[in-house]
Amino acid sequence: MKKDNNQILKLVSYFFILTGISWFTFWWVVPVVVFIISYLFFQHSGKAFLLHFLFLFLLWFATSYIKDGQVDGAVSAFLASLSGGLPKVMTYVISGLIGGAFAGWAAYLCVMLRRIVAVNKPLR
Amino acid sequence: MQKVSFIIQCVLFVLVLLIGNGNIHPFSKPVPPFAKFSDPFKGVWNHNVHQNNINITATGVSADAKIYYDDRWIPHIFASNLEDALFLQGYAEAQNRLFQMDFISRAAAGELSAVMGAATLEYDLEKRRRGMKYAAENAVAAWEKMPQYHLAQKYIDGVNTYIENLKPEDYPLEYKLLHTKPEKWTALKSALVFKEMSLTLCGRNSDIPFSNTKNSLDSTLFATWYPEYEDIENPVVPAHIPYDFDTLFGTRQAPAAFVTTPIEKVNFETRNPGIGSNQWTVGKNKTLSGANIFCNDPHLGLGLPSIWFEQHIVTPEFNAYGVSFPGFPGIMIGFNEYIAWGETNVGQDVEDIFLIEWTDASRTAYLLDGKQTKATQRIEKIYIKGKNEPLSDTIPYTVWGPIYKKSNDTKSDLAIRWLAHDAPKTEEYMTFIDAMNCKSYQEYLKSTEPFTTPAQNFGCAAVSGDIGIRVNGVFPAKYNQDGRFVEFGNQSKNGWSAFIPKEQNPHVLNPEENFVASANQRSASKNYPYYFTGNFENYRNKTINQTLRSSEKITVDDMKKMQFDAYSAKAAEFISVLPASCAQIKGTSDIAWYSKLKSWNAQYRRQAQEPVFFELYLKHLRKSTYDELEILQEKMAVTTPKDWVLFKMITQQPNNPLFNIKKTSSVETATDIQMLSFILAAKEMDSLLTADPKIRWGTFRPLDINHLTRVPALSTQNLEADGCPDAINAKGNAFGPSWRMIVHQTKPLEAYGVYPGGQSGNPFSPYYKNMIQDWLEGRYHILTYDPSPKNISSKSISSVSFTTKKS
Repeated sequence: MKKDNNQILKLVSYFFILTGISWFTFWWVVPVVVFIISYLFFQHSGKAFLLHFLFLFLLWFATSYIKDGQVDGAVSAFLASLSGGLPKVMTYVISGLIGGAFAGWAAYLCVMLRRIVAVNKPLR
Repeated sequence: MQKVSFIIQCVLFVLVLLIGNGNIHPFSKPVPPFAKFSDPFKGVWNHNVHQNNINITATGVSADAKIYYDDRWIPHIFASNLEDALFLQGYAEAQNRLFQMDFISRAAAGELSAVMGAATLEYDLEKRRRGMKYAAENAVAAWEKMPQYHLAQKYIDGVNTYIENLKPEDYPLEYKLLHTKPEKWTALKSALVFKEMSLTLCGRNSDIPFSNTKNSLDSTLFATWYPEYEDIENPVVPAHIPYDFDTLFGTRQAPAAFVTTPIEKVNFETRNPGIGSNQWTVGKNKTLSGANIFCNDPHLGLGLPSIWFEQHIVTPEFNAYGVSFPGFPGIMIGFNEYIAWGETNVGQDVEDIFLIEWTDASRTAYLLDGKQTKATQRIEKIYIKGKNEPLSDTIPYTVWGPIYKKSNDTKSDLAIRWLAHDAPKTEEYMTFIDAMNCKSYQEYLKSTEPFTTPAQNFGCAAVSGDIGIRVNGVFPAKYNQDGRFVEFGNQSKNGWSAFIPKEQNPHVLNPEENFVASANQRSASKNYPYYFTGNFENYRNKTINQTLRSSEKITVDDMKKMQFDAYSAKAAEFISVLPASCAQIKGTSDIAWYSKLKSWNAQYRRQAQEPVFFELYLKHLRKSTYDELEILQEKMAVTTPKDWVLFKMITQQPNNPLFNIKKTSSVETATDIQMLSFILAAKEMDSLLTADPKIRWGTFRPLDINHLTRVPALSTQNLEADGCPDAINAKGNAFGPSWRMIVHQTKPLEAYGVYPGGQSGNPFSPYYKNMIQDWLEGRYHILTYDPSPKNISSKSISSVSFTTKKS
């Protein structure tokens, strides 16, 4: 139980750091950091992809939603109009998908590397 | 196998990451880098709208200074001297309109392709061939030697202070869309903004179509259909004002040698038809209050962001309010506690076309006064986004100016002689800076003295009571007919040999009519000693003059209604001579258009159907009358007569041969053409009504207020609006009254204004287009010019504070 709690705490801290990186640095620093750091956390490629994808998806989705709300939906209206009439919510979804895809993909590649390095260790 | 898969995936990942960040751009169109753009922290979602109080430490200010933004996002600039005020003006304009300033300067220079891609290449080439950058470079070279250039530099420093403090995540949206960044602001960029305005207002000529028309028609027919003076005129300077001076005709006493053969296969497009302005002042003896009322509404292209930026500038010396062109210092149209000032464009022709005869196919030397003269070759490099190597275009420059149109035969080309290419000899940039500090009409005259081009009717009303308009700018002293047609460029005597001295420019001060008015009509009457040629307005000015002449005890509300007046004198005129036989014509919809038109008040209101029918009728009337010209148009650019001439011919020469339709065996008269046009209009109206039973003026000719980049999502399109180009409320498809201002010089004075847009250039700002609806409905905002920072600050919603930093 204690081990599980530690693991969760580490993960939360890790995602907290990723949020900080997203806020203060360039967007591409996140996948680079994910590629390096997730080596320490994840052994399962599917899990690594899913967790990173979900977290960055939610982070980008929620941030774009909040920032859009500050200007009464003007950004999503503009993007929806630019893309030929997509529903406004889809603009947040697309934004989330882009962020999630890069983070998930980076994490997946990291675990893949780990598998290559540890040749004899089967991937779970 | 795993390793291979990993390597492939890594390469793919890096590739997608680089594309997503814009380091690799595999698309032919300027699409934004998708990941960088979608980043909610620094991309499109980071809209930078809520700019709260900002503190700037700058070397550019000599003492503490402040900008307060009010609830319409108007900056109120408080500075301890003029230099600091201009610095803050530059900062405020950049803060709100940086992309617009950058885009216009790029568009003027022919450098759009560097950020927009190959789609704008033709546009850039056209600008290079017109010598826009050459003109701006000449201006800057002259400005830099002038005594008060440091004031222009202060404005530039203000712009750059904003740019230097701007983080990439806070770049305006357009930079993110185009994946580019702002460049440092320079005097050249300010000059380009100014030259772009010159191009809009005086960068036009009809030399080629007029030459072709003259050389293709019988000389009597040409003289009848293309007269230069109207029978009934209201020149800006009334006809009763005498001109007691001798002319300067230079060394030549005969018209230049005109090209006598048609110039075929030259693509010629008339630029900016309908661009114009209204300005009038009602003197104190004609108003209810006993104080002058000054009105100005320039009709320029309507866009987002608006061409104008509203602002209030206060120093210990002056308290000025008005609008400026972002990118250029000073206030162009505005008022202070002593005077109100504004402009309308003078249609005088300051752009002539000359035929150059090359000595051989290399286009390096041409004939001038019987000698071979070397052309200067200017190599224009055009950078295109997505391409590594720039495109080079070599443009020969002659004694007249750049080669504007190249022919296919390489024997002869057309060169352009444009006044705006000339280096200014006076401090033209001071005009709108000095205006802010004028305390009398005479001081305003002095402040506008250095202005060169585009020539304007400078109107001014002083609290002391003076009202007047001076036609101001540099004008070539032309001999009769010079500049109307394409001229031979092989003799230097065909060029401009002298310029009219400024004191001989037409000027009216405190006329007996108790009002002054200009609406782009001919500036001076036939009595003016110099040949005055160009493109002048024929209807709006009559409505303005008639209305003001017949009104007394005028109020501000009267002026608001007048600026919104959609009455077309042209429509009223043509309807008055409709043959009664048209009453028999009804379309399938069975609408009695004749009686509808006869009872119509000629107001182009958005909900009315009559303007739609009338416009169709006029279109067919022109088309049926000018069938001879239509045949010519297949081969060359020609010009059609003005509508006032058509009206005159219908009423005075109904049997003129031009009314005869060439392809019929019968001989048609004006009445036949009117009947035919009415029938065709009724048929076309039927089709329109079938497609949309509720068709009306507002939907037939909707108004588009487009963003600079023409991206529909950033534009406001299909607006239903009142007005037409011949009405005081001169609305076109994409132009109209770009700023309506009324200043009532009571104590304290009242001022009102509105423009179709908003103060912020940020499309996500609530101030991006918040004034469009008010403008559409003819509503105004009170212009707050309170000189007390305390009073202004108490109502401000944001501010920028500047403190001095030792350099």
